[in-house]
Amino acid sequence: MTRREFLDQVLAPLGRLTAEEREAVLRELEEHLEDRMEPMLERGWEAARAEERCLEAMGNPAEIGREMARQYRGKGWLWLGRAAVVLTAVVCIQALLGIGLLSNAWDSLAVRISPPTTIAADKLKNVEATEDLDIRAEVGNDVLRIYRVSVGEKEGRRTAMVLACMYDRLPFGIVAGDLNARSRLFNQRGEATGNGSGGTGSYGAACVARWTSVEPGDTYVVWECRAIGETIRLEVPLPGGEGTL
Amino acid sequence: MKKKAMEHTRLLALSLLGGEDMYGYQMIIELARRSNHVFDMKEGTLYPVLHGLEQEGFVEAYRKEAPTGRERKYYHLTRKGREALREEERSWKRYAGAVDAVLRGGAGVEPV
Repeated sequence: MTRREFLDQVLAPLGRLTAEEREAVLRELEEHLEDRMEPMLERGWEAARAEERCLEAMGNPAEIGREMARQYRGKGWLWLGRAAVVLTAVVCIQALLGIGLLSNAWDSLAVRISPPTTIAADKLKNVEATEDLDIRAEVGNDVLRIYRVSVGEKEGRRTAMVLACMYDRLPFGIVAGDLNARSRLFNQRGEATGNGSGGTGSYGAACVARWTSVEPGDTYVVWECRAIGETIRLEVPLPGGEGTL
Repeated sequence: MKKKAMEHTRLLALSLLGGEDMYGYQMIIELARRSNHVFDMKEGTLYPVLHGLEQEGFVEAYRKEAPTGRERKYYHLTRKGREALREEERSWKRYAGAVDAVLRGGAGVEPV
């Protein structure tokens, strides 16, 4: 038996091992043979005879291969187990995304930390001033939060635009629907003329922009939100303080 | 009697590594030397044993240059391996003591 034949027989049952592991087994056995042959060659042994003698001393290659494979038997199950965990996680995430639970939960959390400020940003031209606010009111089981007011120009008229969001009081809860339709923005004279809106949302949170015309000297606008059995009105100060517009 | 949890070769391999880190061929030489060539095992059978110990976390392997100047795969006994060695040594001594007692005519019983 040659060295090549010996090593091939050892490796034959090791199909479950990775290429690196098989290479490591091969290398280790070759190194062993090298260490064992060297002193024999120094003593004058003929190379082929020395190799033959060393291979005999190694034992039955098929048996070594089988025993080696047995040491890695649990490895297949280990990888299978890991693959099953990953696959389960992927399926669960896909399912949650599919029915919107995960995205709703994310929206509910995100508006609490950083509500979107780009809603209807293109509607207002020549923006004079913008101010971030944090005005909150409970509406049923939800929280209405006014978080930004800007003053600029829309269709040739000085206009105030207010951004608001609504989310359930409980994190990850479901928010009541249609904040857009239930909300109006009035100027100081009670006029809601020029109202328009843009928004975004899911079952986790709703965010809308509403605007109304303002006159020089106006200091606030009023956000009105209708809910079952009640109407909430929140005074929203215009940026820059009293009398600047 | 409690069934021995570890084959003798595994115990011997752990015991050798208890003294210092070694590579496979070095272990074969050392085993033959210490046992006065009584344990003249088939050399290739050591490697499945070492890989098994590695898979179980009893030893760790790393590559290092040997005194011959060639790089070799060394095995190092881990803390888990050292604990296993202590336990197996105790188990082996109980076993060997019992065999010895039987060979001497039974534990305290005089031969007829």
